[in-house]
Amino acid sequence: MPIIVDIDVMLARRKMKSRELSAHIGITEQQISLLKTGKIKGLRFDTLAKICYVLDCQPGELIRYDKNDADLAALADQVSN
Amino acid sequence: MSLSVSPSDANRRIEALRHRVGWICQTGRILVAGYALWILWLVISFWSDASLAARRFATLAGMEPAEISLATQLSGFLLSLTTWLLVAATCWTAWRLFTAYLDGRIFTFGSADLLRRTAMLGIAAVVFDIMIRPLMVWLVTGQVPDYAKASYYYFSPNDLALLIFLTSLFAIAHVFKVAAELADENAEIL
Repeated sequence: MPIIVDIDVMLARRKMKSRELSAHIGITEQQISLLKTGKIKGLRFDTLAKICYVLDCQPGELIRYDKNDADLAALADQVSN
Repeated sequence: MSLSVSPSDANRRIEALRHRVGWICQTGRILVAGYALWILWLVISFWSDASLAARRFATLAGMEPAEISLATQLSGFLLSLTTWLLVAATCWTAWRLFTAYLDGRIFTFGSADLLRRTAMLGIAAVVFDIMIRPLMVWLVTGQVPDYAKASYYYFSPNDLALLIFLTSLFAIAHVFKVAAELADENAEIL
């Protein structure tokens, strides 16, 4: 998955545990864990807004795009089909 | 802004749905249990009265009632009991389905599968019952009445209505299976 969620870094900066974050934004710790490992299919804007509010940060500080040749090839295949 | 529902909203909706259908599911459980017991009582009471069984089937065959042997009585009872076992299996699966809905397991693969099994067992029970009717008449009277005389017994509009209902349930089970797949996919979006 080329979209990386660097939530660990922000949690460390704010000295917050995953459990606290999950309690604040209304999702489970397991879901936070899936978010960290990139095993989710998508992130709703309202969930992202809640995370940014609780961690006092911008979306760009949490999410980055990791350019990858294999992903680009897969995307090109999808577009051509 | 995403138009999809957040996990907490989805859980609240499922919970609200669970409360709304709660009394329906509880009633459903009581009805299926009662229905299975009622049919069992009817089967036992019918076949425990040899003269009643003889009269009933003789009427269908257009004959005078004659005494039936214990072996015939037992055979008829066992055939009816087999039908009842299919009915009981249908009712048990329906009970489990209502229980799943009460537990909030509404849009899950398990519930969709239970709905499909309820429909299939119900169809099996109806079809088996229809198929053994001529056999029952022959068993008790030694004759098979012609279709024109006994068609109302062999296959009635009620049977067709039941089959239509159960087939619809079977189709809805497939719809629910897709709904469960969509719910699963939705759960992977935070």
